Amino acid sequence: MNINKYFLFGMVLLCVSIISLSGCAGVQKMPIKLDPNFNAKGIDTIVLMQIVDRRIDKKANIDLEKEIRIPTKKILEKKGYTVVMPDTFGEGMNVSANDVGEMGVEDLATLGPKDSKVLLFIYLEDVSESYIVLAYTFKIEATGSLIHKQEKIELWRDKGIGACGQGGLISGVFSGVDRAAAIEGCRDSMLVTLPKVAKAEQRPGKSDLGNISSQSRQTMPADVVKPAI
Amino acid sequence: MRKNNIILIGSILAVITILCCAYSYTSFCEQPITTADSKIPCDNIFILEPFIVYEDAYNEQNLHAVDINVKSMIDSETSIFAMDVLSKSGFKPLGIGAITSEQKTAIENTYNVLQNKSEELVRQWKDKGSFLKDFEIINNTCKADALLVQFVKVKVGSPGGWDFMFTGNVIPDSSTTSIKAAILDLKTGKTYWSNSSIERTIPNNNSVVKRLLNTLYSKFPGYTKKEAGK
Repeated sequence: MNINKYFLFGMVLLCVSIISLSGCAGVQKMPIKLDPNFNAKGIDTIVLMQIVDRRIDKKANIDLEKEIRIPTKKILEKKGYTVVMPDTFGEGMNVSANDVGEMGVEDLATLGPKDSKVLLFIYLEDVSESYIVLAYTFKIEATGSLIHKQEKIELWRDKGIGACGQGGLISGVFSGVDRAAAIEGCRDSMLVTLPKVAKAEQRPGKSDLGNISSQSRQTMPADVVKPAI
Repeated sequence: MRKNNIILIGSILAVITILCCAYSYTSFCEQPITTADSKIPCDNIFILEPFIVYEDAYNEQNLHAVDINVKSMIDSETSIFAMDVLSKSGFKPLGIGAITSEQKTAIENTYNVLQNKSEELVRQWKDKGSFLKDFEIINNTCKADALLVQFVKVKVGSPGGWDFMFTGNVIPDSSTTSIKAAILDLKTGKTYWSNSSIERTIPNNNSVVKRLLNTLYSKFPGYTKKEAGK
């Protein structure tokens, strides 16, 4: 009788473990858009444009260079790209970040250095930061878009949302830590689907999605071009 | 003495809570873009019904209002609110419901084209030259000088929550509702006024929509008579 009880307990424990582990496996994140011929384009250099702040509410402070652009450069370099960071949106062009935020693909392709091939635009869509009673909450939303300058097409597009919050007396002390983690989560979640630099033998064929986050909850939209992984 | 202290602390906390909640439910807007003299030189403004897009905040996939259980107050309220603001500011607003059936038939296609292009029309960067023929039809048929365009985007994210039992983690709602509106001259395509506002939640009740619209029109410029020859 006792053995049966232990056996039953063991079985329940096993089932719970299997269910938990299957949950950890996560869902592979798919980009909103990825050109099926991405690898064939032989992209090894990306021009990382200035971050475009197109928030409606710009109350929350955020350092676009330090907190978004420079870490993005590091992620791109880890993926094998050479990254160029120009100081302006266009050589000799009088274009503001507000203008860029409203441009379509054709107009975006006119920006950036003349000799460049692909331009990466990161749009800051929303940042909210609030202290409610003893709770701190922070949310950041950003979109990335990779534009082929000559072909005037969008090669890749994805977005990320990072959020955090802490309730209780310690929230004020740890809010800085949470905020940094949320920004990092947003950046990583957005850029995880950008393929790594294609190896020479890969170029006409398969696409590599790089490190896929196990935390991703996104599913593939019906009208999205599914990359070969 | 001890009881008094507890009451005092309780009262302070209650005041802080009320103030913070009031702050957290405030909607935000950009500085509105207006003409140099902050006045709109038009009499009759034709109102396009708002074009509303519902999308998944995580992957931009289109959703339907019914799927996200939105009562869709936004479509009915937005134009009524705009009509009221324009009237109070001295303009003569004209909605699709106020024109004759002949006029309606004459502008039907144009109306649909313009409404579907609302997102482009509210942009500052976008040159409105390609819309001038459509504007002319509205101008001639409805005798309107300007057009009010409204574009609403509802991004549906995950609802917020608070794990008060264990970690104390508070996750903010990642949904947003934003509205952009612009008043365009029907002869030149020039933007007389433009503004946008945002609420960080889905528009599932009337008060959210009201806050959004109040913020949008909070700095709405007055009416100015067009000078002869201009």
